[in-house]
Amino acid sequence: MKKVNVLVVGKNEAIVELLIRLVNKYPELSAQGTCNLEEIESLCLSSSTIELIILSSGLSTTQEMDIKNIVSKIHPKVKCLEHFGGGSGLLRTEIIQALGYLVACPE
Amino acid sequence: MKKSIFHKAESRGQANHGWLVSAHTFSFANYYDPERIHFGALRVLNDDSVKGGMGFGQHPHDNMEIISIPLEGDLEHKDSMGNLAVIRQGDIQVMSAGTGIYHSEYNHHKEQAVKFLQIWVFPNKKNVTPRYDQITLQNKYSLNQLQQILSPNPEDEGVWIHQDAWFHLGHFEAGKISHYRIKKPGNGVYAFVLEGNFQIEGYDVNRRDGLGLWDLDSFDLKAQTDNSKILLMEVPMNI
Repeated sequence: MKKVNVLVVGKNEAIVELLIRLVNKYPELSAQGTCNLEEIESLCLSSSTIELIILSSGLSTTQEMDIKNIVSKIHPKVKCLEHFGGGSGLLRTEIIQALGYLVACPE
Repeated sequence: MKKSIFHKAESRGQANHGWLVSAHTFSFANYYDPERIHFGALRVLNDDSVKGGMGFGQHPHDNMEIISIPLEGDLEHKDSMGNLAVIRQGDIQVMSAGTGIYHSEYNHHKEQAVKFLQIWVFPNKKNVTPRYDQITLQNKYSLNQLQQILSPNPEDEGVWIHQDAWFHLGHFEAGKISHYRIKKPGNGVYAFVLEGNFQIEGYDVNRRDGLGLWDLDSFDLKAQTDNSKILLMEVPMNI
Protein backbone atom coordinates (compact mmCIF):
# COMPACT_ATOMS: atom_id res chain seq x y z
CA MET A 1 0.00 0.00 0.00
CA LYS A 2 1.31 3.44 -0.91
CA LYS A 3 1.51 5.43 2.28
CA VAL A 4 0.81 9.11 2.80
CA ASN A 5 3.99 10.81 3.99
CA VAL A 6 3.54 13.05 7.01
CA LEU A 7 5.98 15.58 8.46
CA VAL A 8 5.62 16.45 12.15
CA VAL A 9 7.24 19.69 13.34
CA GLY A 10 7.22 21.19 16.82
CA LYS A 11 9.46 22.47 19.58
CA ASN A 12 8.67 19.90 22.27
CA GLU A 13 10.81 16.89 21.42
CA ALA A 14 8.85 14.38 23.51
CA ILE A 15 5.55 15.43 21.95
CA VAL A 16 6.97 15.36 18.41
CA GLU A 17 8.32 11.84 19.04
CA LEU A 18 4.96 10.75 20.43
CA LEU A 19 3.09 12.18 17.45
CA ILE A 20 5.43 10.37 15.04
CA ARG A 21 4.75 7.10 16.89
CA LEU A 22 1.00 7.74 16.88
CA VAL A 23 0.87 8.66 13.18
CA ASN A 24 2.90 5.56 12.27
CA LYS A 25 0.21 3.40 13.88
CA TYR A 26 -2.16 4.39 11.06
CA PRO A 27 -1.95 1.82 8.24
CA GLU A 28 -2.12 4.49 5.51
CA LEU A 29 0.37 6.96 7.02
CA SER A 30 4.12 7.20 7.42
CA ALA A 31 5.60 9.94 9.60
CA GLN A 32 8.92 11.56 10.18
CA GLY A 33 9.56 14.71 12.13
CA THR A 34 11.90 17.21 13.65
CA CYS A 35 12.24 19.91 16.28
CA ASN A 36 14.98 21.57 14.28
CA LEU A 37 13.56 24.00 11.73
CA GLU A 38 16.88 24.02 9.87
CA GLU A 39 16.35 20.35 9.00
CA ILE A 40 13.01 20.78 7.28
CA GLU A 41 14.35 21.56 3.81
CA SER A 42 16.69 18.57 3.78
CA LEU A 43 13.93 16.29 5.08
CA CYS A 44 11.68 17.51 2.26
CA LEU A 45 14.35 17.01 -0.37
CA SER A 46 15.13 13.49 0.79
CA SER A 47 11.47 12.41 0.97
CA SER A 48 9.06 11.28 -1.65
CA THR A 49 5.98 13.50 -1.75
CA ILE A 50 5.00 14.88 1.65
CA GLU A 51 1.23 15.25 1.72
CA LEU A 52 0.64 16.48 5.25
CA ILE A 53 2.43 18.69 7.78
CA ILE A 54 1.43 18.41 11.42
CA LEU A 55 2.36 21.55 13.34
CA SER A 56 2.83 20.73 17.00
CA SER A 57 3.44 23.03 19.96
CA GLY A 58 5.95 25.81 20.60
CA LEU A 59 5.98 27.31 17.10
CA SER A 60 5.29 30.99 16.52
CA THR A 61 2.87 32.05 13.81
CA THR A 62 5.84 33.23 11.72
CA GLN A 63 7.60 29.90 12.13
CA GLU A 64 4.43 28.05 11.14
CA MET A 65 4.19 30.17 7.98
CA ASP A 66 7.87 29.61 7.21
CA ILE A 67 7.47 25.84 7.58
CA LYS A 68 4.46 25.80 5.25
CA ASN A 69 6.37 27.88 2.69
CA ILE A 70 9.49 25.72 2.79
CA VAL A 71 7.57 22.46 2.45
CA SER A 72 5.11 23.67 -0.18
CA LYS A 73 7.92 24.89 -2.45
CA ILE A 74 9.16 21.31 -2.67
CA HIS A 75 5.85 19.51 -2.23
CA PRO A 76 3.23 21.92 -3.64
CA LYS A 77 0.18 19.80 -2.80
CA VAL A 78 1.03 19.49 0.88
CA LYS A 79 -1.78 20.08 3.38
CA CYS A 80 -1.21 21.45 6.82
CA LEU A 81 -2.84 20.99 10.19
CA GLU A 82 -2.35 22.65 13.54
CA HIS A 83 -2.40 19.92 16.11
CA PHE A 84 -4.00 20.62 19.49
CA GLY A 85 -3.92 18.55 22.61
CA GLY A 86 -0.55 16.87 22.23
CA GLY A 87 -1.71 13.27 21.99
CA SER A 88 -4.05 10.85 20.27
CA GLY A 89 -7.38 12.40 21.35
CA LEU A 90 -7.87 14.81 18.48
CA LEU A 91 -5.32 13.46 16.02
CA ARG A 92 -7.54 11.21 13.88
CA THR A 93 -10.20 13.89 13.44
CA GLU A 94 -7.55 16.48 12.56
CA ILE A 95 -5.97 14.15 9.97
CA ILE A 96 -9.33 13.27 8.40
CA GLN A 97 -10.27 16.94 8.17
CA ALA A 98 -6.92 17.94 6.69
CA LEU A 99 -6.71 15.14 4.12
CA GLY A 100 -10.43 15.30 3.28
CA TYR A 101 -11.00 11.56 3.52
CA LEU A 102 -11.48 8.93 6.18
CA VAL A 103 -8.38 7.18 7.49
CA ALA A 104 -8.69 3.83 9.22
CA CYS A 105 -8.33 3.62 12.98
CA PRO A 106 -4.75 3.14 14.23
CA GLU A 107 -3.48 -0.42 14.71
CA MET B 1 -32.11 34.46 15.86
CA LYS B 2 -31.58 31.80 18.50
CA LYS B 3 -29.88 28.61 17.32
CA SER B 4 -29.67 25.25 19.02
CA ILE B 5 -28.31 21.74 18.68
CA PHE B 6 -29.49 18.80 20.75
CA HIS B 7 -27.43 15.69 21.44
CA LYS B 8 -29.20 12.76 23.07
CA ALA B 9 -27.06 10.83 25.56
CA GLU B 10 -27.25 7.61 23.55
CA SER B 11 -26.04 9.35 20.39
CA ARG B 12 -22.59 9.91 21.91
CA GLY B 13 -19.57 7.92 20.70
CA GLN B 14 -18.91 4.93 22.94
CA ALA B 15 -15.52 3.51 23.84
CA ASN B 16 -14.92 0.47 26.02
CA HIS B 17 -11.31 -0.36 26.76
CA GLY B 18 -12.12 -2.61 29.71
CA TRP B 19 -10.44 -0.44 32.31
CA LEU B 20 -11.98 2.69 30.78
CA VAL B 21 -15.52 3.19 29.57
CA SER B 22 -16.12 6.55 27.95
CA ALA B 23 -18.91 8.38 26.15
CA HIS B 24 -17.69 11.09 23.79
CA THR B 25 -20.05 13.98 23.04
CA PHE B 26 -17.67 15.15 20.31
CA SER B 27 -15.30 13.27 17.98
CA PHE B 28 -12.44 11.84 20.00
CA ALA B 29 -9.82 9.14 19.46
CA ASN B 30 -11.41 6.52 17.18
CA TYR B 31 -14.89 8.07 17.32
CA TYR B 32 -15.38 10.36 14.35
CA ASP B 33 -18.56 12.13 13.34
CA PRO B 34 -18.11 15.08 11.00
CA GLU B 35 -21.28 16.64 12.43
CA ARG B 36 -19.88 16.48 15.95
CA ILE B 37 -16.41 17.97 16.07
CA HIS B 38 -16.86 20.80 18.57
CA PHE B 39 -19.24 23.37 19.99
CA GLY B 40 -17.37 26.63 19.51
CA ALA B 41 -14.24 26.46 21.66
CA LEU B 42 -15.56 23.39 23.48
CA ARG B 43 -13.74 20.53 21.78
CA VAL B 44 -13.97 17.55 24.14
CA LEU B 45 -16.65 16.42 26.55
CA ASN B 46 -15.83 12.90 27.71
CA ASP B 47 -17.88 11.10 30.33
CA ASP B 48 -15.29 8.68 31.73
CA SER B 49 -15.48 5.75 34.13
CA VAL B 50 -12.18 4.18 35.20
CA LYS B 51 -12.01 0.85 37.03
CA GLY B 52 -10.45 0.59 40.47
CA GLY B 53 -6.65 0.71 40.50
CA MET B 54 -6.51 1.69 36.81
CA GLY B 55 -5.93 4.94 35.01
CA PHE B 56 -4.24 6.99 32.33
CA GLY B 57 -0.46 6.51 32.49
CA GLN B 58 1.90 9.42 32.00
CA HIS B 59 1.14 11.16 28.69
CA PRO B 60 1.65 14.62 27.23
CA HIS B 61 -0.67 17.44 26.26
CA ASP B 62 -0.12 20.79 24.61
CA ASN B 63 -2.15 23.84 23.70
CA MET B 64 -5.39 22.90 25.39
CA GLU B 65 -7.29 23.98 28.49
CA ILE B 66 -8.23 20.74 30.25
CA ILE B 67 -10.84 20.65 33.00
CA SER B 68 -11.68 17.56 35.03
CA ILE B 69 -14.77 17.30 37.20
CA PRO B 70 -15.04 14.19 39.39
CA LEU B 71 -18.61 12.91 39.71
CA GLU B 72 -17.99 9.79 41.85
CA GLY B 73 -14.85 8.47 43.49
CA ASP B 74 -11.38 10.00 43.68
CA LEU B 75 -8.81 10.70 41.00
CA GLU B 76 -5.07 10.79 41.67
CA HIS B 77 -3.15 13.35 39.63
CA LYS B 78 0.59 13.56 39.06
CA ASP B 79 2.32 15.87 36.57
CA SER B 80 5.67 17.01 35.21
CA MET B 81 5.46 20.27 37.21
CA GLY B 82 5.70 18.30 40.45
CA ASN B 83 2.03 18.41 41.37
CA LEU B 84 0.65 15.38 43.18
CA ALA B 85 -2.96 15.60 44.25
CA VAL B 86 -6.20 13.71 44.75
CA ILE B 87 -9.35 15.31 43.38
CA ARG B 88 -12.74 14.36 44.72
CA GLN B 89 -16.39 15.08 44.02
CA GLY B 90 -16.82 18.80 44.63
CA ASP B 91 -13.34 19.59 43.32
CA ILE B 92 -12.49 21.09 39.95
CA GLN B 93 -9.11 20.48 38.30
CA VAL B 94 -7.68 22.61 35.52
CA MET B 95 -4.55 22.35 33.39
CA SER B 96 -3.33 24.80 30.79
CA ALA B 97 -1.19 22.50 28.68
CA GLY B 98 0.46 25.33 26.70
CA THR B 99 3.93 24.40 25.46
CA GLY B 100 3.64 20.93 26.95
CA ILE B 101 2.83 19.08 30.14
CA TYR B 102 3.03 15.41 31.17
CA HIS B 103 0.53 13.96 33.57
CA SER B 104 -1.10 10.78 34.80
CA GLU B 105 -4.57 10.35 36.22
CA TYR B 106 -5.30 7.19 38.21
CA ASN B 107 -8.23 5.93 40.17
CA HIS B 108 -7.19 6.54 43.78
CA HIS B 109 -9.09 3.44 44.94
CA LYS B 110 -8.47 -0.22 44.21
CA GLU B 111 -12.10 -1.37 44.04
CA GLN B 112 -14.49 1.51 43.39
CA ALA B 113 -14.71 3.06 39.91
CA VAL B 114 -14.00 6.74 39.49
CA LYS B 115 -16.36 8.68 37.24
CA PHE B 116 -15.47 12.09 35.95
CA LEU B 117 -15.96 14.54 33.10
CA GLN B 118 -12.95 15.39 30.99
CA ILE B 119 -13.47 18.69 29.18
CA TRP B 120 -11.09 20.28 26.67
CA VAL B 121 -11.44 23.90 25.58
CA PHE B 122 -9.35 25.46 22.81
CA PRO B 123 -7.15 28.19 24.34
CA ASN B 124 -7.31 31.80 23.13
CA LYS B 125 -3.52 31.96 23.23
CA LYS B 126 -1.08 29.28 22.06
CA ASN B 127 2.14 28.19 23.75
CA VAL B 128 1.41 29.59 27.20
CA THR B 129 3.43 28.44 30.21
CA PRO B 130 1.85 25.23 31.49
CA ARG B 131 -0.05 25.50 34.74
CA TYR B 132 -2.09 23.31 37.07
CA ASP B 133 -4.71 24.24 39.63
CA GLN B 134 -7.50 22.62 41.58
CA ILE B 135 -10.14 23.97 43.88
CA THR B 136 -12.73 22.63 46.27
CA LEU B 137 -16.04 24.36 45.75
CA GLN B 138 -16.99 26.31 48.86
CA ASN B 139 -20.74 25.94 48.39
CA LYS B 140 -20.67 22.78 46.38
CA TYR B 141 -23.90 22.24 44.54
CA SER B 142 -25.71 25.11 46.28
CA LEU B 143 -29.34 24.18 45.99
CA ASN B 144 -31.48 25.88 43.36
CA GLN B 145 -28.83 28.24 42.07
CA LEU B 146 -26.07 28.16 39.52
CA GLN B 147 -22.57 28.27 40.94
CA GLN B 148 -19.71 29.59 38.82
CA ILE B 149 -16.83 27.10 38.72
CA LEU B 150 -14.70 28.55 35.91
CA SER B 151 -14.04 31.89 34.27
CA PRO B 152 -11.30 33.71 32.31
CA ASN B 153 -10.38 35.76 35.39
CA PRO B 154 -7.94 34.56 38.08
CA GLU B 155 -9.66 36.84 40.64
CA ASP B 156 -13.13 35.53 39.88
CA GLU B 157 -14.95 32.60 41.47
CA GLY B 158 -13.76 29.09 40.53
CA VAL B 159 -10.77 28.11 38.43
CA TRP B 160 -9.65 30.14 35.44
CA ILE B 161 -8.51 29.28 31.91
CA HIS B 162 -7.00 30.98 28.87
CA GLN B 163 -10.35 31.44 27.14
CA ASP B 164 -13.41 33.66 27.42
CA ALA B 165 -15.38 30.81 28.96
CA TRP B 166 -17.59 30.52 32.02
CA PHE B 167 -18.78 27.24 33.54
CA HIS B 168 -21.56 26.86 36.11
CA LEU B 169 -22.87 23.91 38.08
CA GLY B 170 -26.40 23.75 39.44
CA HIS B 171 -28.33 21.39 41.70
CA PHE B 172 -32.08 21.93 41.61
CA GLU B 173 -35.32 20.70 43.14
CA ALA B 174 -38.29 19.91 40.90
CA GLY B 175 -40.02 22.99 39.55
CA LYS B 176 -37.21 25.43 40.30
CA ILE B 177 -36.27 27.84 37.52
CA SER B 178 -32.97 29.58 36.94
CA HIS B 179 -32.18 32.33 34.49
CA TYR B 180 -28.82 32.35 32.70
CA ARG B 181 -27.51 35.48 30.99
CA ILE B 182 -24.67 35.13 28.47
CA LYS B 183 -21.53 36.75 29.89
CA LYS B 184 -19.95 37.75 26.61
CA PRO B 185 -21.89 38.63 23.45
CA GLY B 186 -21.33 36.04 20.73
CA ASN B 187 -20.73 33.20 23.15
CA GLY B 188 -22.85 30.07 23.19
CA VAL B 189 -23.76 27.72 26.03
CA TYR B 190 -23.55 23.94 26.02
CA ALA B 191 -25.83 22.55 28.74
CA PHE B 192 -25.01 19.03 29.92
CA VAL B 193 -27.39 17.33 32.32
CA LEU B 194 -25.61 15.33 35.02
CA GLU B 195 -28.69 14.01 36.78
CA GLY B 196 -32.45 14.32 36.41
CA ASN B 197 -34.23 16.32 33.77
CA PHE B 198 -34.51 19.95 32.69
CA GLN B 199 -36.73 21.96 30.36
CA ILE B 200 -34.58 24.40 28.40
CA GLU B 201 -35.83 26.53 25.51
CA GLY B 202 -38.54 23.97 24.69
CA TYR B 203 -36.23 20.96 24.89
CA ASP B 204 -36.69 18.12 27.36
CA VAL B 205 -33.08 17.52 28.37
CA ASN B 206 -32.48 14.28 30.24
CA ARG B 207 -29.51 12.72 32.06
CA ARG B 208 -26.33 13.03 29.97
CA ASP B 209 -28.12 14.79 27.09
CA GLY B 210 -26.42 17.90 25.77
CA LEU B 211 -28.05 21.06 24.40
CA GLY B 212 -26.05 23.75 22.63
CA LEU B 213 -27.58 27.25 22.40
CA TRP B 214 -26.17 30.29 20.64
CA ASP B 215 -27.20 33.59 19.09
CA LEU B 216 -29.20 34.45 22.21
CA ASP B 217 -28.71 36.71 25.23
CA SER B 218 -30.23 34.59 27.96
CA PHE B 219 -32.42 31.59 28.65
CA ASP B 220 -34.30 29.85 31.45
CA LEU B 221 -33.84 26.33 32.67
CA LYS B 222 -36.41 24.50 34.75
CA ALA B 223 -35.73 21.35 36.76
CA GLN B 224 -38.37 18.70 36.16
CA THR B 225 -37.33 16.32 38.93
CA ASP B 226 -35.74 16.57 42.37
CA ASN B 227 -31.97 16.19 42.54
CA SER B 228 -31.50 17.50 38.99
CA LYS B 229 -27.93 18.58 38.29
CA ILE B 230 -26.58 20.47 35.32
CA LEU B 231 -23.31 21.80 33.96
CA LEU B 232 -23.44 24.93 31.77
CA MET B 233 -20.39 25.65 29.62
CA GLU B 234 -20.34 29.10 28.02
CA VAL B 235 -17.69 29.34 25.31
CA PRO B 236 -16.84 31.54 22.32
CA MET B 237 -18.49 30.26 19.13
CA ASN B 238 -15.90 31.76 16.80
CA ILE B 239 -12.50 30.14 17.14
